[in-house]
Order: sequence, then structure tokens, then C-alpha cells
Amino acid sequence: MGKIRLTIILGVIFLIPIFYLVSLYFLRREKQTEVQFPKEYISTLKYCQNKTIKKMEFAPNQIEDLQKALNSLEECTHLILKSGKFIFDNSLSIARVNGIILQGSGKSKTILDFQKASNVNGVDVEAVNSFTIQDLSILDSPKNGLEIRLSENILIENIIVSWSTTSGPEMSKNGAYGVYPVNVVNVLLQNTETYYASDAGIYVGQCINALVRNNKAEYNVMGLEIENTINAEVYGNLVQNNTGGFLAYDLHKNTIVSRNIKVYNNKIVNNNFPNFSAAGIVRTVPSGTGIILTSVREVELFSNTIGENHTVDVAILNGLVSQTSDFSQWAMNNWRVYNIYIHDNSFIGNSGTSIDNGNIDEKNRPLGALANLFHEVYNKNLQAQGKAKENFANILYDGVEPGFTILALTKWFGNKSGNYNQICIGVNDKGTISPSFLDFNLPALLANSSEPTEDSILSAIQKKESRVYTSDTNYGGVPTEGFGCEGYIAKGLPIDF
Amino acid sequence: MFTLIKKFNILVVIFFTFQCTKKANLNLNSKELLIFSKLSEYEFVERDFQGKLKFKKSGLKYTLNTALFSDYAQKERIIFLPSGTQIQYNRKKVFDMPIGTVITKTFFMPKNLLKPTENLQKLETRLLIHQPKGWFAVSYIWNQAETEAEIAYGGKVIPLQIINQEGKDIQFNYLVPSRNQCFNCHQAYEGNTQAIVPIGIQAKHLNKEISLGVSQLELWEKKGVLVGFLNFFVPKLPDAFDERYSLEERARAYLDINCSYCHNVKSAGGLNSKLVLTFEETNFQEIGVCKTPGSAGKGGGGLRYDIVPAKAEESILYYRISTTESGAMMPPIGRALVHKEGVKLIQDWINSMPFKNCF
Repeated sequence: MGKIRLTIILGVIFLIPIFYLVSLYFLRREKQTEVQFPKEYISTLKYCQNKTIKKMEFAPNQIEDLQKALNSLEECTHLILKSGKFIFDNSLSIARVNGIILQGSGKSKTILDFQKASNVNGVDVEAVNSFTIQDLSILDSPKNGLEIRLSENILIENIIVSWSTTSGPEMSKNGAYGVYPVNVVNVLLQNTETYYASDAGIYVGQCINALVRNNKAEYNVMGLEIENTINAEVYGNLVQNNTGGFLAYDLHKNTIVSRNIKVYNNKIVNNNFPNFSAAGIVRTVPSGTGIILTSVREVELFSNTIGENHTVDVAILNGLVSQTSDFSQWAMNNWRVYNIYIHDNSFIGNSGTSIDNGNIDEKNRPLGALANLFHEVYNKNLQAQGKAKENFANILYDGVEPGFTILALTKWFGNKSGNYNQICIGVNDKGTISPSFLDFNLPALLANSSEPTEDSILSAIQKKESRVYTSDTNYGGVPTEGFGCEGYIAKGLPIDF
Repeated sequence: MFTLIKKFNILVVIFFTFQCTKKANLNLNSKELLIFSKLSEYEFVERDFQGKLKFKKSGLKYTLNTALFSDYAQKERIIFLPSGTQIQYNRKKVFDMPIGTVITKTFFMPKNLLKPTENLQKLETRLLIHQPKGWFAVSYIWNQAETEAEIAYGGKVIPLQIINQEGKDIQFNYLVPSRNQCFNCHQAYEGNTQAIVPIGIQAKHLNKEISLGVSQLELWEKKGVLVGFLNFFVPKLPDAFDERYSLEERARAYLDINCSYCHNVKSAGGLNSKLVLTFEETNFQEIGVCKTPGSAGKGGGGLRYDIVPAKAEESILYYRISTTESGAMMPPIGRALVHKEGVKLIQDWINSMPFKNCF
């Protein structure tokens, strides 16, 4: 009798944790977003091909007529804005009407000035289908320069979005995003320039099928962002002189789980602008960051020119590290970063020379501070061995493996070899240097405490738990365990624009 | 009150099905109303002996339990129904209104906030016109003599100067919304299509005692303009500034009328921020307690949680209603000033919550 009772008690004691872990494994599995994909991209011209197109022209002194027209639009209206400065005291809004073209007379000829408006987006577009905006400038929007939400088949072409405060603390009052298509199905964004946005120059958010090409983003906090987006191609863009260059990520509360993002032929260099944002996730980005991939999957990054980013060229981070470590805040359990393939890029060097460009701010940019502390300990360790100091690595990976995130941020599950996230660094020999790769191994750095210390970092380095790989070592050697693997090949867009 | 209603929900439904099969005449075969460029052209207005334009007495005046804050403007609300038609009562949704209904809301700005009902400047009259295809929204701006109001498709920014509660002169830009901006608040989604809807025409907002023991809805029924009304567990939003109600009820009522037209589970505000501020919401995390925002924009003011119990100053919700910073202020439209009384109410409510560490 007693034996049976003991067996039951012992069984329960062992079974409960196992049951708990198994249930956590299932509860915390990443969810996928099922979406209805559109069959094709319907441009404005196609949408209006059998309809009468009504043309209306406006000069800068006809703002009231323009506002009246915008607020009583019929479908397939072609609005032409002549050369000159249009001074608005309210936003230019277009809503719930299809087949509209808003066209200026050239991106430096037609200027829409929103300096006198308060608390609105400059050009504000909602619930439209087959909409085109082209050939104009948007200046000094209180909120976002161009926002297009809950819409389909959007062409943004040949526009400039900028702010005139270009230095000093007042910059943080510049509008947040330059160009912001959000919740859009099929968006083509090309030949557009954005400057001095206090959050992101180009922000593609929660879209299905986005083609972002041949744009320029400069002097923004973040140059170009792809957020919670399914199917994106990003190529031919020049992203330089921002605080951070390119960011692909999922927000923890959003239910669209990103996938299939192809990033190629971009120039992402010299992003060393001081961080001037007032708030938001970009406030945590250290100056000198080239590319951040966080809480995102299925990203192929190839044939880009990357370099001269003084903190790091590429950072690959788990969402529990970059956003919040509270599992309950992740609606789709999509904190992992995995299936990342970085190959055939040109790394041009002069990176990792000065983390956060020397302005370490532990409160606002804690990851920059941690990287800096690591770097100091790492170099001290090299010097102790009589070796020369090194720059910070070109590619940083936090080393947070999936097992690790079943339970919590502890060393127990995470600190082991292997590459379950399929972070693959191929041959990147087109540039002047071959990039170094740092597996941070955050679980080892943490060493079961919430704050890494100099000691815990040194111990992780000495045990080779946290280590820098180079292409000579083939990023960890064995393909099944190391990072020198062949990874995810992006499928590209399922439709033609 | 609301838990009570929930308990009796089934009972009410049964009651409803048996007793209230009466249907309102919603004028469904009516034609489209003409939209005029001058308010004087509509048949629901007339001129008084001074030549001033006034609404006809045939309109149905109404007030709400708690009203949206609009820069301290006073508001007059009048509904004009086509003759022989009625409004269909609904406990939970916006009432069905007959085609041809015109809902008017006129905004008056007091010169001195210490005397809020004196010396009023008539600014604008917003119309919601129920066309066969749906609601049409547009505002008319009054001239100084109040003899005419002109249509303002594109809205208008009106610079105003008034005396605030501290006796100081303040200047601000009052926004008459453009037609497109009307949708920012009067929005409803059915699938992917967006429609315009009235906000105040709901039982919870209109269920208000207007004379001893008689509610506004009862009066409407007596007048024969409201059909299907059952005076039994009618939902009621408290008056946010009536201290007979609890602090929590008042705060939640304030958030409902000022925020929940976007911050509900079906609209953009609710979908992006995942913050639901309807009075009916019972889940405290949805209301924002220890909840991180759903989007990562600059509105958060560097704060981490929508509401930190007992710490209003650390709560994004409090920050956003008490600032006038572009990109951060809430609501995003229709407010240039801070509603001191409303902000105080929310501050008191958050500070009254038992402290809880959000980590």
C-alpha cells in the first residue's frame, strides 16, 4: 500500500514538471498567419481602363478648391498639382474612393507644406483601392509624411518626404514616419526619398506583397523598415547616414507573422547619425547600426553593399531580447528570429569601430551598452593573451536558441551548441573584407542572472560559449552545428507589379 | 449594474422576442436627399424675426449621459425624422434610423470658460444625413451674424481666443473636420468596407433621466418616435462628472465616449494598439493595465505600459490625453486643448488602483 502511494507521489512529482514543459512547448509554439492572397496587382490605370477619367488641376493658391475636391471625390479622378508651394493648415486626405491619382509636377517642383497644420498626417489616405501618388514633395508633417492605411493596390513613386529641422533637440519633434503604408495589400514603393523622420524614413507595416525599390533614406532615425509583412522584396535602395539603416521585425502584439523577405542589391552604409527619436522601438537603436533582423523569419539578404556602420553591420536578435521578455505579450509567439540567410554581400569594412559612436546610453539603448561592455571585456582578454585589439564583429547574433525560449531567459536550456534557428552565413567575399560573426550567446552571458557582468562575460568568452567566428573557420565548421550553412532562399513576390 | 444586465441577458432576450416584434417605419424606399451648399436651403431651418437662422421646433432635441470633449465647445443636438417614420430601438447597437434622417450637432464656443454657457460663438453645425446608400457627413460653418452657414467639404481651421479657467487668455486652432476626417471617429467596418455611423444614438448614451423619473428614451417612445423600446434593463453609461457614481464607473464612461469609437475590437485604433476602452470591456489587460502598446510609435512618450496601477504619471494612457504634442495626443483629432477635468478624472482613477508591479 505504502509503496503504491510512494510511487504515485514520486510519479506526480516527476510528471507535473514534464507535463508542464510539454504543455509550454505547445502553448508557446509560433503561430502562422493565414491570409487570402490577391491574384494580381490592379494599377490605377488598369482599374480605370473602361471608366472615364476626370482630370482636375490645382495651383498653390487653390487650396480651398483642392480640399473641396478631395472631400467629394468620384472614382478615377486624376488630381494634378501644379508647381509651387501648397501651404496646408489641415491634412490632405483621400478616403474610401478608388482609382485616384494624386500627381505633382515633379518631386522638387510641387511642394506640400504642412508646417502650419497641427497633429495630422501630411497626406492621409484611408480605405482606397488602386491609388497612385507621384511627383511631389511633402514637407514638415506634424505626424507622418504620407500614411496609407487599410488599402489595396498602392503605387508610391517619385516623391520626397522631408522635415526642415535638421539638427538639435527640436529634431525629435519631426514627424514619425516619412512614407508609411500600413495594412496595405500590394504596395509598390519606388524612386522615393525620405529625410529627417524622427522614427523611420520608409516604414512598410503589416502589408501583404510589398515591393520597395530604388529609394533613398537618409538622416532618419531608422532608414527603412519592414514590419509584420508577408512577402516583400527590397532592392536597389540607398540607405545611409541614418541612426540605423534597415530593420525587419515583428511587433509583439501584431497578428500578421512576417515571412518571405528578400533583400538584395541595396547599399546600406555609414549609418552613424545620432539617435534623435523621442520614443518608440527605434529609440533603443544605437547609432552606427546597419541592419537589424529581430523577431522575424524567412529573410534572405544577398548582394548588398554593407559597411562603415560604426556599431555593427548586421544584428540578428530574438524579440524577447529586443522588445519584451514577457511571453504573454506576444500574441502569435513570434519572438524567434530564424531562417536567415546572409550571402554574397559586399562588406566594405570600417565597421564596429566605435559602438554607438561613443555615446553609450544604458537607459535608452541597453543593447548598445551591453555590446560595448562585451567588446571591452573581449579586447581585454585578447590583450591578456598578447593579441591585438579587434573591431566589434560585423554580424552579431544573440544566440538565443528556441529551447531556451520555452521556459525563460535562463542558461539551462539555451547554452548549448547548435544552430536550431538556422542562422546561415554563406560566402560574403564580394567586398573588401570578409565579415566576422559574433555568437553572443546571451544565455551564457547572463549566467543565470538578469544582468551580465564583466565576470560572466569573461567566463563565457574563455569557455568559448560566446565567440567570434570568421570565414576562415567557416562560421563554426560543421554545417549542422555552425553558422556557415546554406539557408533559406526567399521565394520573391507571388505577383507582378 | 452591467453584471446584473448580463445575468438577465437571456431573460431580456426572451422578453424582447415575445413583446417587441413591433417594427419602426424606416422609410426604406425613400430617395436620396439633396446636399445644399447653404444651411438655409434645408427645410429643417427657418428664420426668426431678426433674420437669424434657427432649427425648426419640430426637431427632436437630445443630450448624452457623457459627451465627447471638443475643446470646451457647448453642443446642441437635434434629430429631424421624415414625417411618419420612427427610430428602431436596440439595446446594444446604434439604433436603426429611417432613411432621410438628419442628425444635427451645433458647436458653440464660450468666450470665457468660467462662464461656459454665456457669450457663445456659433461655430459650426455638423450634419449626418441618412442616405439610401448610408450616412453622409459634412459640416457647415456659421457667419458671425448667424444668418447663414456655408458647407465646408474640406473643413476649416478657425483660430480662436478665449479666457480659460484661470482667467488667462489662450489661443488655439479649432478644427472643423473635413468630410474625410468625419470618418476618423464615425467609423465602422463590415469586413473590408468602411462605413460611417452615428456614435451617440445608442441606448447607453441616451438612457438619461430628463425629468423626475422619466428617461429620455421613455419620452421618445411616448412621442411615438422610438419603436421597440423595452424599459427593462436598459444599459446606461454614467455621467462622468456626477459624483454619485463611483470613480471607476465615471472614468470608464469618460473613456467610452471619448475613445471607444476607435478603441474597440473592430476599429483601427483597437486593432493597432490592442487597447479596448469600451465601457462593457471587463478584461483589465485589454483596458490597458500593465499592457504594453501594440504599436511601437512615438506616442508612448518613452513609457512602457498603457496603465501602471496607482501611477498615472507612468501610464501612457494618462500621458496621451494630457499632452498636446503632435503625434502623441489623444484623441488624435478634435482636440487642441487639454480637458483638465477629464484628465483629472483619469488620473484619480489610475491612482486609486491598488499598486501592482507590472513586470
